Amino acid sequence: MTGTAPTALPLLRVRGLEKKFATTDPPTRVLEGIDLDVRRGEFLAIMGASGSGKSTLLYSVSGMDRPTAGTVELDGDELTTLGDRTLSAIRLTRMGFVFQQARFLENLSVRDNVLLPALRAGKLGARQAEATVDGLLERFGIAHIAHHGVTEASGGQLQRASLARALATDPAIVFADEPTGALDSAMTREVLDALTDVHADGTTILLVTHDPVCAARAERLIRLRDGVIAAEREQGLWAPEDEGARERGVLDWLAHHDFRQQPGSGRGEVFDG
Amino acid sequence: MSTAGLVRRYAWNDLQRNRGTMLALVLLFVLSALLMASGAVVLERLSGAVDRMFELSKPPHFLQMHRGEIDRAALGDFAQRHDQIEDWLVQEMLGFPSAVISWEHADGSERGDLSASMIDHLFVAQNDGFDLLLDEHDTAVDPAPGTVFVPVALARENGLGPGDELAVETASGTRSLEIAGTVRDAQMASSMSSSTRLLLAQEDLDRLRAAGGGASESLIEYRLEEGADTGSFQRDYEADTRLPHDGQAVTGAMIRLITVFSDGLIAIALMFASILLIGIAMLSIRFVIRSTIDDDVREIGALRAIGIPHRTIESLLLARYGAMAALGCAIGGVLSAFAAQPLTQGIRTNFASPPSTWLTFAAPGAAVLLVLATVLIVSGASLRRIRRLSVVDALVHGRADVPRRRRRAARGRAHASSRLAGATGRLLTLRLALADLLAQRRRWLLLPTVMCLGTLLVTLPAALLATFDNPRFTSYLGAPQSDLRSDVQFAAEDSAAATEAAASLLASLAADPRIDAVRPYATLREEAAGPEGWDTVGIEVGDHTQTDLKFRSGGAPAEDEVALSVLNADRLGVAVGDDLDLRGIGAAGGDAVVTHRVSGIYQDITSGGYTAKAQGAVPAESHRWTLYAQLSPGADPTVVASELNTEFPSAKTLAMQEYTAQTLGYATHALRTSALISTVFALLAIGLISVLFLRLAFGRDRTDLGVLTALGFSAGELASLIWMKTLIVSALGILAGGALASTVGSTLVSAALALSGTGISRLTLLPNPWISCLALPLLLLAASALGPLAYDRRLRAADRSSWLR
Repeated sequence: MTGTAPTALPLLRVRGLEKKFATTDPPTRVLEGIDLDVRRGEFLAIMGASGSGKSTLLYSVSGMDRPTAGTVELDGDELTTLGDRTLSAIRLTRMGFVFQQARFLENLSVRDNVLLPALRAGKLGARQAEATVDGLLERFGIAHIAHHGVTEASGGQLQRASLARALATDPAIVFADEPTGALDSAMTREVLDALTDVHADGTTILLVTHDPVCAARAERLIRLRDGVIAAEREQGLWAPEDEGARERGVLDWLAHHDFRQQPGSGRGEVFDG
Repeated sequence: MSTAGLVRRYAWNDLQRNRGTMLALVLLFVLSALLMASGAVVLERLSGAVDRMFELSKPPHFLQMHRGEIDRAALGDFAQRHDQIEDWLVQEMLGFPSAVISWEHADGSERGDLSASMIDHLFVAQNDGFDLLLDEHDTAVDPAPGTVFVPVALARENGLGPGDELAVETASGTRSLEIAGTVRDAQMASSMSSSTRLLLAQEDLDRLRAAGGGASESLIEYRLEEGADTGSFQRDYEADTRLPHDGQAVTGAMIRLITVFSDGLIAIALMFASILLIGIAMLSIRFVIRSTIDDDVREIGALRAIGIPHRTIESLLLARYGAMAALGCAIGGVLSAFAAQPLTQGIRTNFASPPSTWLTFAAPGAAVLLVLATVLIVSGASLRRIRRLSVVDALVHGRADVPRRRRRAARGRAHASSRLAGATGRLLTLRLALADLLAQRRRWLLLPTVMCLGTLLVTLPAALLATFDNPRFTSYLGAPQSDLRSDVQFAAEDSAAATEAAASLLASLAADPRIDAVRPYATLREEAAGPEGWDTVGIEVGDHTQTDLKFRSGGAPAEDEVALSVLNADRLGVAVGDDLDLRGIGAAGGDAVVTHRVSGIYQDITSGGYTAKAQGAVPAESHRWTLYAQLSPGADPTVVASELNTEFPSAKTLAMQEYTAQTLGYATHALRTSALISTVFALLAIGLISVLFLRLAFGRDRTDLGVLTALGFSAGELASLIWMKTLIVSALGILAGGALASTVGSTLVSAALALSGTGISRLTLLPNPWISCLALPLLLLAASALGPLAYDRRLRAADRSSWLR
């Protein structure tokens, strides 16, 4: 099944993507022939229960992991055949990442963590990179903790710092893996507002989540089950006044597509959102 | 499943999971135990072998060498007046110049002579009663007529064995003897002894003497009753002017010291190396335990949360590390039994074969147990961390460190200014590496500490070896820096002949265009007033004003002054500036007492360490002469020495470097063995620890690696980060080790040498800069590179997204 909108030229084009882990006995097939297009400037959310393969999909398309089969094209560049060095350079300059647990280098201050990819990418001079980073910290309301150690910041602040780091190299796409998974509702809102803000600026976002509140912010939803795309929903741009209605819409859609455990299905698929 | 069963299962699974780490740790224990046990074996075998040889060969408690006539009646009278004498004898020895003694293999394949040897080769017949020369079966052998038993060292150097031939060119033709075997000599086994004995039948000895060309020398030897005071006996002997005195006096303690010196050096070096290695192993186990607790903090937290007491977890983990240490120690102990074979080869050849006693097994056993006990103590202390672990912190945050400490660390980082600002490209990677090192300095301290200890282990023996090989080492031989040294030594009554020989040698040297300068010295036997009476002192008289001899304190003697070797100054109880009464010095040479001021004290290991120097015109006559010659640039001292030995067979001329090499022969050989062993072990340990450390670091750094991968670091760049960190800390460790070796190291070695009583009290190490500053550090760095290599491989094979999940 293809979750594509044929009208736009996709930024990310995935065909026949498979991922198998040979370390288990028998080997686990986590992704089975995924076809997926992500449009330029789109906010796409991939939903699914634990073990449905959504994080594996994210890491496979972002080049963190090598897929077992299939192709992934970013802006027309086929990624699966690239060497580690070239792929790493693409990750640095054209992709940004936000993880469920705010992952930072604890030995550096918040600002240095955000600054690191900007300096490495070398798109801007060191001075300009620092100015950009300071602007991002200001934009996400965390300038006051710029020189703090990462263990001194709250979860919400760190996730916003993650987003600032992801944007520091002005990437074509941001991959977010359950970015609010470890946050309370207030912090979740902070982070979602930041994500929505980034999207409003034209950045493409691929979000993996099991949280309907999160998914409500996306323009398009894809539901993954047992490693295949099970359903897709276009819901348009989010507006603050639509918030409650959109969340209900997501829940209805999920209920309609019967995401709960199927009798006789081999895998426990319990939605834990 | 019971609680204990659950914990046991956890411990077993952990072992399975970390097989590589555990294997590296066990190997480290093996190395430590192997070295420690080997050192103990060498020490036990050496002391056993020397005891056994002393028991069988019964060396004298006091002996006096003498050239010239002997008043046997005076000796008999002296013996009668001293109850403590158990037995005494006079051994007649016949010495020939080294150049006239030659050898040939039985099959005629090889022949040579002993002209290059500075040792006196003395032919003797077997003694009766004591001071026996033993064959390889530990029996006091009586050679058949026509045969000779040669010293072990001589046989080894020239590859001589039974059936080969030894020939002596006497005044009346060549006399050949068939080599029947080797003899072990309790009192002249060391290279530091100035003579060696060849054993033949009494009738052959008489025949050689009759043939002419040899010089007679006597050994007056005494066995004393048990508990007799050798010191006062020696003073009594020396006080009796009728007795023969013309030569060195040696006590049993000195014989023993010189005998065990070189092999003792190996044992001490091995023990020293093993102590450093145990230190390394202790640091490693502490690190492994702390890392394991950090890695397994959630599991340990869970075990404690379900009510398992920390004591149960601690004792089980302790049992596991104890079992690993026991395994390592057992393997090391068993291996030491094999390692002991080559290590004790020299002991078995030079000395008697010692019988195995309970101590033979107990000594290495105790050494191994010591290693085990140390591991258990350190493990127990490290495991106490589990007790301090906060269960909530462990379960919720997966943290094993104390929250207070963590907050403090975070604050430290917060106040730091930007560590990356302005850096791009490689500089950025370097800054990142430095930031990591700075933040994790407690953890990373292991590697430089190990490198520092490893550097000590490798550079100290190498530096000592280079010092022995350095031409400047002659200053420890009580000799000025020169290219050649000639010794003319005759019996006391032949001083006219000796003087004539020395004069013609001096004339020849002065006329030789290859020689720039010659300085002659005559040694006079005097008596000096010590705290307990008159002591005999050999004083080298001549012009010392231009000497470049290094003085430990004070300086060269002027008129009416005397300079003393360290051991003589100690014996006589004088320091620089003190007055010393000398008897017999001066033109009269009578009993008049002359007072000299002590001008300086120098270090000397020749003549047992007891020498002295006085300023004055070279005496008209002496039976002992020493000539030092400086060659003009380009002249080869070995060639000149060889020519002079042929031209003047009554003098013994050696290139100074050869003189040093021969004096220190055994010690250098022993030191080379221990330097090699400690280098190999240090490199193995460093390699192992580097692998072990980075293997554990890999586990701890997983998240950071994941973040960096997401930020576009390729596997190669991640690897280069770890290479940088490892090389930086390794280089720092090597630098620290080098600094320590050149400061504390010199002091340590000096102290050990001073204790050995060889006449050196302060040694300045003269390392070979190419070896100590380049080759060895590069080797150490190469060993430490094993860790990053293994890390690199793991990095490339890893499933990278798993680092972030």
